[in-house]
Amino acid sequence: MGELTDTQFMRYSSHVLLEDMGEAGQLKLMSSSVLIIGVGGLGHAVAHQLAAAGVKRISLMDDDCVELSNLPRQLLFNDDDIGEPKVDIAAKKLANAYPDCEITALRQRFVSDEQALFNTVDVVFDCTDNFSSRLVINKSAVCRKTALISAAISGSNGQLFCLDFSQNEMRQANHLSPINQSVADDKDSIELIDKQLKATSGCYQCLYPDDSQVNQSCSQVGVLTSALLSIASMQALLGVNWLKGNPSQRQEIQGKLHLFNAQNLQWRQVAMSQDPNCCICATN
Amino acid sequence: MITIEFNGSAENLDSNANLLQLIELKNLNPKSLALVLNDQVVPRSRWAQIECQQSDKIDIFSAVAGG
Ligand SMILES: [Zn+2]
Repeated sequence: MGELTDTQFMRYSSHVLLEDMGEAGQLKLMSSSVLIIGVGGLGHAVAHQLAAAGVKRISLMDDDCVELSNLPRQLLFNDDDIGEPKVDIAAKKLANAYPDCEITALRQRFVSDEQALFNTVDVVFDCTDNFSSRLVINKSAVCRKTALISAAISGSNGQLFCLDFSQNEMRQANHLSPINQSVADDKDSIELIDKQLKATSGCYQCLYPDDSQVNQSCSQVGVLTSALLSIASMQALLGVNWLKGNPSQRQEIQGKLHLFNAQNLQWRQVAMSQDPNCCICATN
Repeated sequence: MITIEFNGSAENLDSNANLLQLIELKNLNPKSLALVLNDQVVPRSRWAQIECQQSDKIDIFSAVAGG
C-alpha cells in the first residue's frame, strides 16, 4: 500500500500516533472512497471530517440549494452561498481546504437508478432528511451488498447505525442452518452460534417498515446545531473506524443501533434484528 | 400478574400480554415506534407473537429521519 510522504506524516500525525490506526490505518483511509447522500446538517459535517481525515474520494449527492435557514447548522455555507447548489459549494470549499481529497459533486436526488454508484465506493453514508429517501437508499445498499452508515436526528433524538450487507448471503446461509446444541460446548461452536446471532441484524426497513409514521426533517421539527453535529461526528467516526477496520473489527461495528438523547446527553446501544418477513433483506 | 420495566418504570401487566397489546394498552401508535426488548430491537411484525415475561425491560422510541 506504499507509505506516507513526510508531509502526509506530519499532517496526519495525530492519527498515526494512535495505536489502532498507525501509518497502515491512515494509508487505508487515504485509499478509500465514500458516497455521502444528503449534504445538509449531517452530510456537510461528515464530508468535512472525512476530507480532513484524508479519505481519498468523496462523492457528494444532493439536489438542494443553500437557504438562509440552513446557515446556523450547516457550517460550510455562508450568506454568499444562498441560492447556490449545496454540492457545488461544499465540493469547492472542501477541495480548497484538502487538496489530497478528490471530491465529486452530484447535483441530484438519489433514486434507485443510481445504485450502481454503490459498487464504486467502500461505504455509503445516508445523511438525508426524509424517510422515503432512506428507504430507497437502504434497498439499494442491500441490493448492491454495500456497507451503509445511516444517521438521523429530529428534535433531541438522534439515531445511527452501520450495517454491512456485503456478507448477506453468508449470513443468511448461517441463519438458516440449525444451531446444534450438542456441540455447543467447544469454542468453535460458540463462535458459530455468535455469528448466527449476528446474522440477524436486518436492514433499515426491518427497524422501520415502509408504513412507519416518522418525525420528519430538522427544518420541520427543529434541532440544536450542537446536537446535530454530535450525531454527524459519530457518523463520521463510525465511517473512519469502518474504513480502517479489519473484518473482525468491522463485524463488531455493524448491527448496533446507537440512540442519543440530546437533552440528558445519554447514549444507548442496542442490537438490531432482522424481520424474518422483511421484503427487502429477508427475501433477497 | 408480572412486573416489567417499561421505559425505565416498573409496571404490572397481565401475564399473557404480548408486546403489541402492551403498546395498545399505552394508547401508542405502533406505526410510529420501534421497540427494544432487553437491549435487542424487536421487528414490528413480531410484536404480536412475543409475550412479555417477568422482569423484561421494554423501551420504545420514535422513528426519526431528519438530517
Ligand atoms: Zn430488512
